[in-house]
Amino acid sequence: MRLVAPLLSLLLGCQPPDAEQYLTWQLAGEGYEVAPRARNTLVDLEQVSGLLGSVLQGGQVLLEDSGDMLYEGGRALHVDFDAQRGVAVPLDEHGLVLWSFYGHLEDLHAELPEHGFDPQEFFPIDAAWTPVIPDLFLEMLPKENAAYATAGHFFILLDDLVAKDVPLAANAGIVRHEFGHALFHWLTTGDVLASAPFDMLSQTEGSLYYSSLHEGFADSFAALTLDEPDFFDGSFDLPERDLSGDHRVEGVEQLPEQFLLSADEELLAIYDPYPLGTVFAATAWDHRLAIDDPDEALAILVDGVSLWSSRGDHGDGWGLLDAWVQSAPAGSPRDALCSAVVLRFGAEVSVDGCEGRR
Amino acid sequence: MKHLASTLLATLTALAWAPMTHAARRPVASAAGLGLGAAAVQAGSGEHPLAPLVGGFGRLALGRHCYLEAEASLARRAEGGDLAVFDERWTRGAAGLGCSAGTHATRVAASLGPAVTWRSSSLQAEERWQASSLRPGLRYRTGFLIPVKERWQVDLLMGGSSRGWVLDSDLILQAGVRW
Repeated sequence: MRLVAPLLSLLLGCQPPDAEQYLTWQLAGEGYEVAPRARNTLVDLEQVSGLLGSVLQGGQVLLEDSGDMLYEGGRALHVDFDAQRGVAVPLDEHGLVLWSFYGHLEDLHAELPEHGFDPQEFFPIDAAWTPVIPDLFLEMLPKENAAYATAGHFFILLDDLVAKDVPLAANAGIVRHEFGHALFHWLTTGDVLASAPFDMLSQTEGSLYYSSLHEGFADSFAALTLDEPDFFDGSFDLPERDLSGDHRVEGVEQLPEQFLLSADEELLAIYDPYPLGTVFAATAWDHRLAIDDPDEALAILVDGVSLWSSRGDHGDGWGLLDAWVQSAPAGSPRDALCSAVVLRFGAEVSVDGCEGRR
Repeated sequence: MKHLASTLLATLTALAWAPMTHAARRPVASAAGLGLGAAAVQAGSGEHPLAPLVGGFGRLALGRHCYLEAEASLARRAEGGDLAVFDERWTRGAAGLGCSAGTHATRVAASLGPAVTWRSSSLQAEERWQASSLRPGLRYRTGFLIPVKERWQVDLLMGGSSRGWVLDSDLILQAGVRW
């Protein structure tokens, strides 16, 4: 009789197995491995919900007139799992991907204080798995991706169209890149829920520079916190985003002002913010190599973004270079940054604080 | 002894023929056979990837229009990349009470009943991990029951089965013998 209640409960699926650890994709040496990790803040394994946020399924992402994105109508997940030797094991790959995404957020949450950030400014952050995106403009964005919605303050996770060794949402570099957007938004607006300085639908020179800086900062954050310039590795072979590559501003096909000139002649032209963003991020990586300290390189970049933002012109892309260099302590850190800026941006870009280095 | 054997043989022959002629007259007949189809099995994310499905069924006619049925099915799929591969299996047993309407040549049928699903997966990464779960649920099916000549039965059915809080769907083509 004593066995009836637990047996019935197990049979009805009311009592998921308990586990102190859960399986996730994790960085290991040069690559990734599937291994158990401690269950620190992940309260509900079935619904992928914990102190850092919840992952919801479905729902829809709406674009408001202000350009802010809202998420509504998401439903609770039901990840099926079992416990083996105290480790929760998902019964399908999506379960493993969703747990891995949460696990990477746990790592970030633990590291933020080391970089001078208060995690409470950012967490909890919810995530939407494969939401419906009814807006035509958003629909035109890549379908196989992860994204961060500024102002709405949530992640969007989409399933991989093509199987990868490490699925996108389980890639630590991609999760950090998306979190980098949250950080850049916070640095430039002071609040993760504040509206962005530019409507994401607007295509002005300032908004396009701002979008490139967003991508550049997000790439820099991912690369410097992982100390890995090719942080897509494992999921994508993307030499055009590998920060150790030869990315220079002279190689960028269209800077914002050139894009706007050509966009007048094209229907549905969409600016690609990545090439210019990658030049900024490659500069940050050069700086890290020169000073041999990824944490200091990140701290100087963050100070630079804060200083640039305090000056109020978020569309002044080149102004970030001035603020960045001025935030580097005089001496070898500033000299190294000036060398990187000159290498990547060329002599045409005049940067206050780097005079005499042409 | 010889008389007993011939009587037994005559009885068996009569039994073998009687249901067949009886089945030919009834809109729904007892039947048993095998099925092949596709299942849309709900993953942890709420999505429904497809998996091939095989199964077997038995049906006992109850009156002219209704029937009791039992079935067992197995769906299997693999997913993952070079570093981690999932081998996933769904083994389901279900019973149902169904009724039908229509002509003798084609019956539209629907059934409902309890089901139990044993889901088991192995994950091959650096280590091998095994996981399984047993979930009760409700099974429903709708579709066509098509007698073929006197002896054979073909069914085209679609349906689904709940499994705890989630729902799997499937489409199956069954073929078997009727009596």
